[in-house]
Amino acid sequence: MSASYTAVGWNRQKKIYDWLIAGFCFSYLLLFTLVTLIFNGQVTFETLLIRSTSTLAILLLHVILAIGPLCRLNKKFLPLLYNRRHLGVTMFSFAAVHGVFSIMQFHALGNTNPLVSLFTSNTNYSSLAAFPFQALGFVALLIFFLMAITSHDFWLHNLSPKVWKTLHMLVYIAYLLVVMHVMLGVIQFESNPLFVLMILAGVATLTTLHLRGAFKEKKIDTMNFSLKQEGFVYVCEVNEIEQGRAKIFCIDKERIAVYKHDDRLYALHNVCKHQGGPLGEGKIIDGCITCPWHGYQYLPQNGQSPPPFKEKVSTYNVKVAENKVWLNPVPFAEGTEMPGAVIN
Amino acid sequence: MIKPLRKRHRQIWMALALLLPAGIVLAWLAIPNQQPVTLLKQEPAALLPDIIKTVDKKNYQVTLRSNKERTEWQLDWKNKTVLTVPSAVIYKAASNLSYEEGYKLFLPGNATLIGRIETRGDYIFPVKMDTAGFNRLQFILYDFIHEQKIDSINF
Repeated sequence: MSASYTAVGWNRQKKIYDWLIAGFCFSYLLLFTLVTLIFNGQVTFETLLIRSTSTLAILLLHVILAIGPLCRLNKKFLPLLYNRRHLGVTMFSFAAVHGVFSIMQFHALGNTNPLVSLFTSNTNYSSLAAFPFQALGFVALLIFFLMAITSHDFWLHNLSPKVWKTLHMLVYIAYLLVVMHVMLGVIQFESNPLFVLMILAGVATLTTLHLRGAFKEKKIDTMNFSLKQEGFVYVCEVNEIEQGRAKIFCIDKERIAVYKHDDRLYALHNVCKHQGGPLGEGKIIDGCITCPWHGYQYLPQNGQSPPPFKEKVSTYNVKVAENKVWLNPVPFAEGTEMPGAVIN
Repeated sequence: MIKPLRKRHRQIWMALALLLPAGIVLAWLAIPNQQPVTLLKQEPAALLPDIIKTVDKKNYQVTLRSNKERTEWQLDWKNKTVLTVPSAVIYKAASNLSYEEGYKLFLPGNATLIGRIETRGDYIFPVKMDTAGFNRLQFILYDFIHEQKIDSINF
């Protein structure tokens, strides 16, 4: 969280995260090289580079796509989400090395422009077995490139959250293209079924995680609150909310987070102004509600980020009667001061 | 995330849950059922017993062989290292019939092609010997793409 744009707002957690990413990537490339040299000593440097970076990029892509649903299913995975963008840019870098060296190796030695050659050297677009799979990889790489260069908050604010999110959701199309790039490419030449099984395992894991996470969220979105009184809705008992934490309720299509802090209850809109993170899944740290995604903070009594920050979210009226929590789902203007409901 | 975004995510993954397995199965079924590729290669000829002469160069060893009766002749070519010229052929000529112009060698009119060699491996070629015998024999390693002599081996 920062009041101005910096290339990377480094802190201890981000440094640890990035060192872990670098250590993992280095170890993977080393292991891949050693195993390849043991089983295929004749391999050239270019081939080794193309294969090692491609498999690493695919592995990282699966990890990146698994983080979101894992966090929805279990809060223990939230630290992985904190710096996911660095993981994404790392994945793009390895995919780019694979793409550039492949184009140089297979398309840069003739008279035709390498990019033209990529799309015209094989024109069997109507054949599945001989499909020009390299074109699929190129389009996926283009999407990853757009995502990587717009990953900074500068672009989030200037493109608008809606455009930015739509652009970054193209990752799912890119994933489909990558899977088909592998299936119509390397799988057509490798007789070992291990490769197909690995891809199947990756696809099955991601699909299961995303659908489980999605249906868990749908359950929250379709909760029924039948007990109503003077505009207030009964949502839960006071002791169902942990100290310094929140419980999330979806009323009239809006998610509201009710926090317990210093023997009072506060209700705020659940959506973080930064990237739409679930504020209700975050903790209260140093008196501020802290978004679990990227650490944006808001004061519970007014939904405003502490100065000099300017983000604001809506607040709601909440009351406690006979240990029951009642919530009015009509929002106040963003940043409206609310005293909170005293817990008896 | 807001509710419409959550819904869009759910719809996308429901679509991917159908598209991804379908794509994988179709691609799997499309794998061509190819026969194992076998190298088309002639069985190597048996080496003739008598070694007439061996010329040992840095990158290859060339041996002229014959039978006891001197009615059959062979050129035994062994690459010791990988040749840097992929388009090499061997010609046989009489040793005083070629001439050079600068760095370029024009093959003599009566030079006869013995065979082509690859960058690696051992090669055995039958050689027809004329009445002049092997004393004035020369083998020319020739790059036919760049049209220039790579080396000449005199016997």
